[in-house]
Amino acid sequence: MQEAFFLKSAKGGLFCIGTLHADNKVARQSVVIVPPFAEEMNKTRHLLAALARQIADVGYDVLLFDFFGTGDSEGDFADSSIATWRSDIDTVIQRMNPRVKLHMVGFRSGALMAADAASRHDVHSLTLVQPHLSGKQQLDEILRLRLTAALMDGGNREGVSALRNRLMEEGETLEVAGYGLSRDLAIGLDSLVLRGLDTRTLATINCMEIVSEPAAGTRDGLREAIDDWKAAGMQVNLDNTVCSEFWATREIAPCPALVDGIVRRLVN
Amino acid sequence: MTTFDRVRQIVGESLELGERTSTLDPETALLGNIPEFDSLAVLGVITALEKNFGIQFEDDDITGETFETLGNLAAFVQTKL
Repeated sequence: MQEAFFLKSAKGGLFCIGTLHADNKVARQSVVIVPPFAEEMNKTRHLLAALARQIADVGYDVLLFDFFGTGDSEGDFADSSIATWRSDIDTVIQRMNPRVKLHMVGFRSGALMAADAASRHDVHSLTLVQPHLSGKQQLDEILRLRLTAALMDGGNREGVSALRNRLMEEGETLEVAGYGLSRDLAIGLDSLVLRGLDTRTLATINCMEIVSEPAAGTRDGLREAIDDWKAAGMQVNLDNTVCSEFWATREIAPCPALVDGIVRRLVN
Repeated sequence: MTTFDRVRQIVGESLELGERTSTLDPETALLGNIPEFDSLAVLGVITALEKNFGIQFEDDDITGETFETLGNLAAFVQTKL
């Protein structure tokens, strides 16, 4: 049965939903789902909850959480940092049964955070759903969003580099689409790179890409990362799922094929 | 397909306009005219155009004039090809 509860972390309670089987019904394996940030998380939440339910249905333990300062967890977004969010993931992992195999499923920037966590924990498999290739890439997108918002308002239109300067050099917290983007968070984001992450203990990496047609080519950057991982001796799977870019669509877009695809990879 | 047709298709898909897409012409005003065209949507259109045409928008390209009409936007994309 899916439950909702707060998990105590260093800076505040983390809102979690999931299913943890009682000890007398030990789950075969466990899964931690790592969500995307900000607006992408809002659009993705329904899908993550559906994934958690389906994973529980195959008898696994599963937890989905909100990072500190996001969703229903305590704290303000402007007080968050990558360091805080790393420790959030550590807190959630510590809650899982240490005697069974741990899998992580990360969406978008959550994929970057999950890959980062795999270098600190014993993770058996990593599933990356349309991962951002770097935190810098996501930060540029966020700053660009601020630019387009200024365009709509007819306000002062500062370029991305000017905004970066205000953020990094002057330490100003920028407001973007209702979220307070702090220098701490920006510096942390810049430090995350998918390709450079140490994923030595992993056996398998599953890449799930959202495409508009089945025969779509693999994104630059991801292809290189996959080559690196294969060269390091990992089993790497790449699945294309045709559906809309659910983290960005105006209306909530379900994607049952993606959920099925992820569960299929987890039970194999 | 002309550049204009491709741009129109991409804008229509980005904004999820469905059948309304075919009613857009070069004079159709975008900014301030189409309700779906908010800042997130503009970002979505820019990203989709970059991906589809293999072009890059510079900060200076993101102006009111570029996004004033669909014709302006298509003409701008043409200059980047």
